[in-house]
Amino acid sequence: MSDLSPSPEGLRQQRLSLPARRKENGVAAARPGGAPTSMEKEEEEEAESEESGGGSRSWGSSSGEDDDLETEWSDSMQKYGELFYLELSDSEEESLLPETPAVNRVRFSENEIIFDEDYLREGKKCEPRLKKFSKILKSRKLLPKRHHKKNSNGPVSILKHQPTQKMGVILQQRYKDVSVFVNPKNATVVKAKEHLKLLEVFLGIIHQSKWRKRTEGNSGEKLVVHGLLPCSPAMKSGQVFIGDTLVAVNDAEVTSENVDRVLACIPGPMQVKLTFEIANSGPKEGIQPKPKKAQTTSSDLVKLLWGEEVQDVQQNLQSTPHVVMYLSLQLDSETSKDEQEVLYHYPTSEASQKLKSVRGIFLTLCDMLENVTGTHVTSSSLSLNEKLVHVAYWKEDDKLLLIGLPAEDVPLPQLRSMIEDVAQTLKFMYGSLVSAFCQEDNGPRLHLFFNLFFQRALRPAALWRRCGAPSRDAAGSLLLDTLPGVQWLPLPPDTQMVIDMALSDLEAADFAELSEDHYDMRRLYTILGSSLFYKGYLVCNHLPKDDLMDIAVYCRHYCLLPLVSEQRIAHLVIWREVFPRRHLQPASEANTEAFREPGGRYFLLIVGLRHSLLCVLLEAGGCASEAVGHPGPDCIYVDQVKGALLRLEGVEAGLDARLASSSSPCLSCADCFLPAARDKLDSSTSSPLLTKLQHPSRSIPSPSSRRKLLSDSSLKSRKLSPSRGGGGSDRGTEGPGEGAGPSPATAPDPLHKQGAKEAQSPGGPQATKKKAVLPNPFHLGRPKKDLSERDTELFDARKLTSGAENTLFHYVALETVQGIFVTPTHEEVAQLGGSLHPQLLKNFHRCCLSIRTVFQQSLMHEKKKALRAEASSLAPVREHGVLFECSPETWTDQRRSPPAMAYWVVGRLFLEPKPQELYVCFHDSVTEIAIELAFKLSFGLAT
Amino acid sequence: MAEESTEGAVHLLCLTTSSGVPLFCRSSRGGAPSRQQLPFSIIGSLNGVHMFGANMDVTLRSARTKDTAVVWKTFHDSISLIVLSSEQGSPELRLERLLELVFGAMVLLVGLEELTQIRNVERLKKDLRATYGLIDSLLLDSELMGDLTQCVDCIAPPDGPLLQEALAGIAEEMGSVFASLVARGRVVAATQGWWRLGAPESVLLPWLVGTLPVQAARDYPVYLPHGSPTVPHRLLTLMLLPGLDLCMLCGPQPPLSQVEPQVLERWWQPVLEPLRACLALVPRGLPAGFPVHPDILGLLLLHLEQRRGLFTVELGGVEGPSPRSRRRLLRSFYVLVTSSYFPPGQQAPWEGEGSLGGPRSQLIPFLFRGRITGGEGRGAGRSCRGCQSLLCGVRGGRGPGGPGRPGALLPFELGEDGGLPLRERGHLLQHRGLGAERASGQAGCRGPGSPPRRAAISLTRTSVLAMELRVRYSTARCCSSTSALRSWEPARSTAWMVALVSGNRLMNLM
Repeated sequence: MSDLSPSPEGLRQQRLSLPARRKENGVAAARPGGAPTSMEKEEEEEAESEESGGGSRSWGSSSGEDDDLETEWSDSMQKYGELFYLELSDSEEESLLPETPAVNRVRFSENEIIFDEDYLREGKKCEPRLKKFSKILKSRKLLPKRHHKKNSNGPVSILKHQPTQKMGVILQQRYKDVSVFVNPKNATVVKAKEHLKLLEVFLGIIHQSKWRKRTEGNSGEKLVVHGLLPCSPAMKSGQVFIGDTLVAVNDAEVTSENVDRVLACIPGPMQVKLTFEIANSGPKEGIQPKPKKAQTTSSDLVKLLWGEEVQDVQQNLQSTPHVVMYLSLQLDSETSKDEQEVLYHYPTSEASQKLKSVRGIFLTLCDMLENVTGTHVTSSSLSLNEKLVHVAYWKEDDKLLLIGLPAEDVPLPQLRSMIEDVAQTLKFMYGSLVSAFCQEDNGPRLHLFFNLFFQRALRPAALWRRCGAPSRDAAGSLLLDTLPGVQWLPLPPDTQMVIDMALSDLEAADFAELSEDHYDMRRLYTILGSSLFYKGYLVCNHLPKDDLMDIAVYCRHYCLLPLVSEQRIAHLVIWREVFPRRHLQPASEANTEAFREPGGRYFLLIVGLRHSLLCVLLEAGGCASEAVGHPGPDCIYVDQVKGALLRLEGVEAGLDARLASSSSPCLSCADCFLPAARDKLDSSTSSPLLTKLQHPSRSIPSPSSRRKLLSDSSLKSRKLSPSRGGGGSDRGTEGPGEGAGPSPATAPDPLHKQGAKEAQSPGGPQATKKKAVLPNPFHLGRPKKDLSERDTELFDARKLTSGAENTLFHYVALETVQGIFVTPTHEEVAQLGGSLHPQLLKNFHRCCLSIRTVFQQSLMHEKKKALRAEASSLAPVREHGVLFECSPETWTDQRRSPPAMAYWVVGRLFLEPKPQELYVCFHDSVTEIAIELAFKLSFGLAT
Repeated sequence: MAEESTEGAVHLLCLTTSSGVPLFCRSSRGGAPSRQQLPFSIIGSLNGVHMFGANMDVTLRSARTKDTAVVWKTFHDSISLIVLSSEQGSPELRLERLLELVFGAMVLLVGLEELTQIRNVERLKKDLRATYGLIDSLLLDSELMGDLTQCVDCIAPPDGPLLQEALAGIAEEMGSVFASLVARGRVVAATQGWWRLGAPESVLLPWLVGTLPVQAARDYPVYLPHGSPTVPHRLLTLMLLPGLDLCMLCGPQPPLSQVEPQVLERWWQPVLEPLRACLALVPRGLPAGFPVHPDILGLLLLHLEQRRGLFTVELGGVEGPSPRSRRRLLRSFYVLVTSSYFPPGQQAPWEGEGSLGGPRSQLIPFLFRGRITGGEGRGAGRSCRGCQSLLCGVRGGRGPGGPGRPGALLPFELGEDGGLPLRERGHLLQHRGLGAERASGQAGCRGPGSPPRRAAISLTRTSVLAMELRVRYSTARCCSSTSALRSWEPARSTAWMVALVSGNRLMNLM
């Protein structure tokens, strides 16, 4: 898919080729045996032999891989039409291969039931429809003139034939992928003169085969690179060498026989992936380097998602008592079967069994305390093997859901919100807890569900680490996971608009196959809305808050966001019927005139591509046709969603730039604020900033840190002067002391850096300049202020704290109405670096957890007792702050006490105008009034 | 039952662990004693679940509903205490401390042996009736804080050295090491021996004296739950003034009759005025001349190493919440802070060597701030004159004299001159505490009668204002020092101070 250029031409091509794929899918789905899975070796071999014997094959390279993938995922459909298809991109998988040779490309997480005939039949329910479509297509002559029958097995990707145990490693080494840009239009001029050597014309690869051809015959000779044309794509790439053998174009195997045909199918200017066999790969095989540890472990999450048993991971959990139980409160007195009240129980470890054996406690407490106090029991604590275990209760419909986790891992308030999340996710997925737990065949899926849940709850750091995001510690993920929101990435307005438009286009569903005119029939689904995630951040949301939260909780549960943020996925398709709470809540208000949304069935479609994840909520019924049975994913919709993602490819650079640049409000690194022991450092520097700046360079006397520090400050000064004409002119205005302060040796540094920055900026991310206009975490729309006002506001907004220095370390702003929160991205945090800073963040997150707990409690009290004359308890709490002191971790000087730095963690709860929560962490040196200012400014961001 | 029982009811159940026979059952509602009791079936099942768990090797510790918390605790495998509380802001920490204190009270009056080897349940029941007064006072709203903080409630008399001298003299004459002056449950002065009493009894004895009916003299057998749980001592109390008792712990000698009125008169007549003064001091706790900012409504100051505390909510401010609710505010704030930031018996969650490396690198919370908005916000159209509370702390000194320093008459030596300037920002910062340490070191060497340590704490007007200026709709704010320091500098003690600050002045300023 990376072969598609975002140019409009390419898009048109892409769209044109869609009907063709549609047809193929129909055919593929109609095949009784199912499409080829690349899972089994025999089949692969079969396919290979087929391929070698098959001779001619031609296929559109733009849609080739898609064909392949769709056949793959359509095969992995589950009962009830559910689909969970995940495929990592090749580069990711290469890293997985050596250690886990048995990893297959296609696994389904939902369960591991082998498809028997029944399931297949279920899955084929949509066949007639598909056939009809293909007929329509044929009648409209939209089918390209290609031999689909022969291709029905799909042009099999070369790489996909490798993942057998022994070959995998070697082949990795022997093949290389080179992406070149091919523009057939340019080439056609030349093509007329020379006779159809597309290889030369398009790619610039000279292959002289004539004389050999005679000896070996026609049957697919190897395409050895004998030479390269100057200024050709192959030459420009710099990765194609004489002696390499071209084996595949866009994953379609090529020989001298079919190469021209394959290349002829390149419809327009686009990226083409060429796979070469490296000439002298032989000796390299022996010294295949062991992949790095981090890489290999990154597979664990994927394996978990695939539903594989990850032994060591599960072993780790054995010792910690954790349990989930679903108990029935109503017992049949006549059937005195043992354990009949246990409807579900997981896992089967010893501690869990013990907790199960004392379920009488939970049942009794649930019943009795409700009688005594009139409120549901929410949690209880037990000690089990000297370990304190919290058990949270969720009572619904005479059934009781219990989750028990050790107190040391999960504090009680978090456990409560976790069980709420679990209940919500299960309801979102299955409609109700009863249907989730009481359906016969749900067992394995629930096992997987709760396996993931416990992994997330007990080993959050491990899961995150596996995904290569070390900046998220346990407390951090605990905090951010329990916040009722998703992390939103504020974007420059132009980027935002592009994305908005792309999603709106998709949602309008009035073009191509999505329009009703196209097939002259009612559409299958109405698109209710969509939301786009990029690298785990919410980039754009067109869904109501409740739906967004439902989807976010689902994604969170399946760890999709971390997965996408760290690994390039080649393809992810998730399809399932869902039960969004917004639509299923009975209309409680008796307001009958109000518009009521049509009842219907809802389907969630998530398509992931590379780092993007597009979640679409579909509605069947209402104005679309009713859904019958359990429809599987509809190819048209999957295609269109994927098309939308592809159309957004151009934005990715902007998003990456946004992630790479630190945003507003800018942060400081905690390490810069360590006051060093005062000694010979000249005290002539009067500016507090300077003293702060110089001290760390004493305490951590490495030149790199100093450079970092100063570049930080230069960055800061730059950031303080937002888009007011050229950045250079007012460079000095913000930090007059800065130039004078640092010693001459270091002085050039910031200037140099700044110069470099400016040199870069015109070429690359202009977006970073623009981004200044939007630091509005709470309004998804455009700010309505006029420019000058916005400018000044901006100026303030860049720096939340008052005073000369920027003392803000970290912040989390939660906006409950929209269901989003804004916090510095991992990338920003990583940029800050520092040794103390990660500790500080860890502490910040822990503290936020407890502050948030206080807020929750006070809100609860407030709700309960609207206004009480006497304030007898600490409710309602609006602000809570804690002052911390920290010292560097490594302090070798025994004689002197380590330097300490004090910082505040302050949480603030706003109820008006909109419920918001803000948590900030800043250095102690800010005057107290500045805190209010900081809050105001963060509001300033909002208004 | 279910409908009416929610508002602030506390039920305390005591049962024998082995047989589940209820020994007693005390209740209170809204801070007042209540006759309403839980039905027997509920008592039975509350005990039943706990027993069931115990049989399965699972100890049930606590359970919560939305507004109620239940805590189980078994003592010495013999006595089970269950508390069910629907008071606001009563998390487990408070309830567990309550249960420990209740058991301590039972031991204090009945003796451990009676409680662990129960021969006759009926007789034990009868014996335990003696504890009702003390136990009820623990359940009710109290003017004291010791039940929660596990620190002895003290007041700071103006003429501490004089009283101390008199006390030491009479104790010597009576042959007792443990003597103290108790004014309405608060310790005014005590001998070193008394200060060395262990945790539950040091709190419980003054508490007991405060709850007993007024009598001129008592000879009361007590077991010391920590010191001698099985051998009873005699608690002699002699009323010096109404509300002011001289307490002594002694062995079999001397009999009460020996304590001649002349003896008393000889020792106490000269200091009658100071005695009167401290009696007048009782609700306020601080000498009248001591500068406290008028906006400070209440104050809690704890010396964690010496386990003494000063708690007052009657500093003169009339506005703001009533003293009762000030007390409750401070109590719930204390519970909040201790349970979330300084969990007892374990390391604060943000310490721990595993997470942060060496002990020196810990991140230490040492000041807190919290704000609480009153029910009347701007929406109500009333002025935002809520109450504002402030809990600030200073790390106390670690003088060589330490807790046992002779002449340590005052629970906290407070500089009259308001000695300690606060930083303009208004934080009570740590280095100030260290400064005090040095000063106290010198003072400690001078022995008894030396001028009190300069410098422990004071809040100057400007600092308080600076702290409060930015608080608009808030009613409580707090800063506190850390007890977490103990983990890496065990010798360093910690002090707490909590104050309530009224907000009207602020409103004028804004």
